[in-house]
Amino acid sequence: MWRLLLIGVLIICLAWAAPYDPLKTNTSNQLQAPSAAHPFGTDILGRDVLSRFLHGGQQTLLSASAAALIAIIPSTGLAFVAAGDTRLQRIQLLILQALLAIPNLLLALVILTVLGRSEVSATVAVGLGQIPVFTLVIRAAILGVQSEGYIESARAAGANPLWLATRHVFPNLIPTLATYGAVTFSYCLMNSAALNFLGMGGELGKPEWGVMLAEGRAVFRAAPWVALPPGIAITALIWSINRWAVAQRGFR
Amino acid sequence: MRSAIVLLMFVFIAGCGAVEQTATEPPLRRIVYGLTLQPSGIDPHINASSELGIPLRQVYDTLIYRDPETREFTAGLASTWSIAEDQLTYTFTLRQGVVFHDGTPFTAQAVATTLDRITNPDNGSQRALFMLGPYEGYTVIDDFTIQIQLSEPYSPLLDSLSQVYLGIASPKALAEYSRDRYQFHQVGTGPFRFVEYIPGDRIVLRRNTDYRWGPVFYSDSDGIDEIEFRFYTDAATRSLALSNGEVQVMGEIPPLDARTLTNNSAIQLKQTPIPGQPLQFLINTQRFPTDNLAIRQALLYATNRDAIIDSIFQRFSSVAWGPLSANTLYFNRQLVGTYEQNSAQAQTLLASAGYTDSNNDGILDIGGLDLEVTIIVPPWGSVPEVAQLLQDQWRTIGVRVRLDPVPTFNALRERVESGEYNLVAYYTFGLDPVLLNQFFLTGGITNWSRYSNSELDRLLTEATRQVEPAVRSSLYAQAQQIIMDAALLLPIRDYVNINGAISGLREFNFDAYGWFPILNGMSVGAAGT
Amino acid sequence: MTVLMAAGRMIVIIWLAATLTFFLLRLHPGDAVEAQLIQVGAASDVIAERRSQLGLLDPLWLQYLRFCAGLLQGNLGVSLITGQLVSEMIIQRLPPTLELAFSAGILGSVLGVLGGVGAAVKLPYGLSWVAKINLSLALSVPIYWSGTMALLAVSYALPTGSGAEISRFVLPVLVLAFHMSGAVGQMVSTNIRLAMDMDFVRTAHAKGLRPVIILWRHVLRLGLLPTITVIGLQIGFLLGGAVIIESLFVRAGLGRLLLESTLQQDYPVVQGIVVLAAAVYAVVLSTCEALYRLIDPRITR
Repeated sequence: MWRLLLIGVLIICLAWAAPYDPLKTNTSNQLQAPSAAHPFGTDILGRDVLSRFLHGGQQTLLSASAAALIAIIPSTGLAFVAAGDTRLQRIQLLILQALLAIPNLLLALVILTVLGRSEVSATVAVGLGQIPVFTLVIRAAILGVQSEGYIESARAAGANPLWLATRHVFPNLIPTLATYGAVTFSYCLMNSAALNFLGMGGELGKPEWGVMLAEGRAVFRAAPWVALPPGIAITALIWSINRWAVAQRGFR
Repeated sequence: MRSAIVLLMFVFIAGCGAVEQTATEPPLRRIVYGLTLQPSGIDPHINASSELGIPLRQVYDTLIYRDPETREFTAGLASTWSIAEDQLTYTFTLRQGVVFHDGTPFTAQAVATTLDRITNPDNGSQRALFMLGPYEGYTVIDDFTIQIQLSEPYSPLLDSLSQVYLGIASPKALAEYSRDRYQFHQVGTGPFRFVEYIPGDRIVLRRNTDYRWGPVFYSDSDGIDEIEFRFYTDAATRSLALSNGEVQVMGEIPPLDARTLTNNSAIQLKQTPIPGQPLQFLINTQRFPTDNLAIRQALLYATNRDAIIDSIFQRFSSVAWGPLSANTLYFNRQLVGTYEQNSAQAQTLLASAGYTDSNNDGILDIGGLDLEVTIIVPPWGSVPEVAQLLQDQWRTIGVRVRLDPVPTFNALRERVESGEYNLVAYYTFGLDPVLLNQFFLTGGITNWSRYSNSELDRLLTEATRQVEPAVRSSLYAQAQQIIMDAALLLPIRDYVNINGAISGLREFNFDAYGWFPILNGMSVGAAGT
Repeated sequence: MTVLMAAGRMIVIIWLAATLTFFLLRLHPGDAVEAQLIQVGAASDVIAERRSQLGLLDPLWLQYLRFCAGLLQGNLGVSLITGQLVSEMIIQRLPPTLELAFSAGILGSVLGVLGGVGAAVKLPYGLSWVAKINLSLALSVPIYWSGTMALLAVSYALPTGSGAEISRFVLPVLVLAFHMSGAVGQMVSTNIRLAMDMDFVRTAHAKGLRPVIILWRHVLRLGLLPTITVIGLQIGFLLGGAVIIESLFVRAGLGRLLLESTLQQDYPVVQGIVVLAAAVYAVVLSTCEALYRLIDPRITR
């Protein structure tokens, strides 16, 4: 856990170590192979790939975290609201399943068309797309905690449900929230990269790993160095999150 | 363990491929042709895509043709034609002995049925109908003579009639299949017959061995028996598909890949300039700060078009100077060299308009307002890359650029309707400058410069009515001058259609409009040579 | 009774998904007809007439009722762009998607189960290690990235001319199966490890049963249940949304039809595909639950 957070902080701070302006173009210097002046080479507009990669890391982490929070907070709320009432639970389950039945990408595309294409709406679209799954996971976890003997007996003894929820159920959920939250973060990372591939991502030219990957793919045969750093970084980040999540016991 | 299985499969499949490969030694009689868009419908009378013309130009003949060399009209299904004094009646004498692919003989009735189909409002024609202009009706004089009547003079009519959207279809097939089914069973008189269309997957054509009535510039060859068209919407995979032999011809190769392919002896590149408009950004004259002529001119002077063409287009195109590309009819050569990059001039214009950097943030301002422009950026034609370069080029003279990317034409139009933009990238293609009308007439449907000038209106309207080339040429020259004097748009580069083909392919040529290949004379040498 | 209830729930899910999509799409003004006609310079009265012919100017509730009525009769409407029946368009685009989903589904499940077992138990020659790395990679690489790499690899490694079939069918199947094996394999290996810690397995070990027998008899059986769900959902996902793979490998499937129709605002087509995807999802869900009961009769709900 701490190791992951440390990596995150490191990625965010490294943006300040970038040697060049990540937006500065120089067309007479396009698609240069890695050299001392440009350790990661330059892209089609002659921008320094290393600087874009470092700034991109910060941008990518922040927006994927924002997207993950957009998924986590409402989902947890929804799961708790429904937890007390079986009828509400059933209706909620049906709606969630209907949402899951709609292809994920369609939801994101529609949200993007309604909000207009921008960094913010791409983040929102990616985050909202994770709500159904996350709610189901939290729901299952709450049911698990509730069936524990001591909570059942406390409820039978007439304990205040709100007090029960905050004092006993929620603390027991924190491991699930943390583990599955990290996994959701990696889904968000993956999905926002996919939106960029389909030409529906955030801001044009912004140094962001998903954007860089899509840009680099278009020139991959001539200049593989543009796409490799973000490609490897995204894979490595998701890899370490998954390893950590698998290592946590309760995770399925 | 798993990777071992995968590896085994690979080896196995690779083996099969190799065996097949050695079996095909004689010259190819069948080719695969890569298209770049997936048209939502391929009925030329009803749908609007220019991609559909690539296969269907081979299926249909038109009443007249344009010779790709001279660009003059030449006989097609009509052997001769005449225009009445009042320019309202066009009389066509039709060729005899022409037979549709389904055996129906070609007569005036076929032309009539095609026109009826296009103009029937229930059919919802998206392009062909509008190409007919002020069409009023037709009269069948006899089996091989037909007249078309207009309500007012419209000189682009012949140009329209030479395009595949007004290709003549078999009346029998039109009667047999409903409006929606016909696109799967198209029947024309062209050098290839339509075999099948599977949406999103392929279009297959097979040679029409009875074809004897092509226009003079069609060569008589029967090199290819069958053509399969497939859709490669992802630009990054196009040159791969060409070099690994999935296709023998590929449309619109990205410039950078094309540059790489120039070193590949197995591949030939075919560059065809496209008449019509260049890659251009229309400038909104109704919104701050581009409502000011000085600002519009400053943006043009601040743009380094050579840098854009050198880097993004890999020098495959030439600089554009006005609202028409250089090989369009009546292009005004006076415009060449205007608005060459000149940062000093740009800065003088901005200063004369009262802009200074009063808060020292690198961005000019006036009365507390920053000099910021918004560009609507569609995803096609390398516009995103061009816009990013503009953003950086204009930053150096103190202009901040906000990019507003849109995924589709639909979204683009919506952003335009909101009026919240300073520039928008949009352009169309065609040989006849009548296409300027929709962009620059007051109330024109894509008048996105939001400009109105009665003199410009008069010139454009008059040019549409006039037939005499010299008269039209002078009218259009004046119109283009007015457009550029008012800096209504920022032209970037003339369009070039870069197609790739295996080097053994011979007689791979394009028609006068640049997009549509003439495939009937094409042949392939020994495979892979 | 339970069969009836399951059927009822399936219908409600499909109806809810269709309704949600219907209104979501219309949050945004404009439609395909408008866009297409403006592009070719049609006058505004022509556009209005065309739209009213298609019923696009009617109040929203009326359009919705018409859509529901059509749905009940099995009529999904016609495309705003081509005028083709939506059901016909879907049927045309279904075969490539089915082909891909089932080939990749089967291969992916097999590889996933093998990989999952390999990662969970100790195998000689570092095979477990290979399985673990494969599994993690399958879960961490964005799919369009691995797809592009596969395309490039083939273009370099194979002789010119052998490309077509490989890149149109074999490669997408391999790439999809690889990614699917990640999800399946992780589920399998997690479950196996959980099961190995369970009392009866420990007892079996203590009794000196051979590990292979324990694995087959007890552990795999337990791990089978959630694995089936994952497989089912993955196949459902492939049917509804293999957009990226289809774009990469030039396949004319449902995913691409969905993407294009959404971007072009061809509402009836989008709705039609959602109804189909929802139906597949609902069927998969119910089938999995039925299988649960079959395999493990203790589960009742």
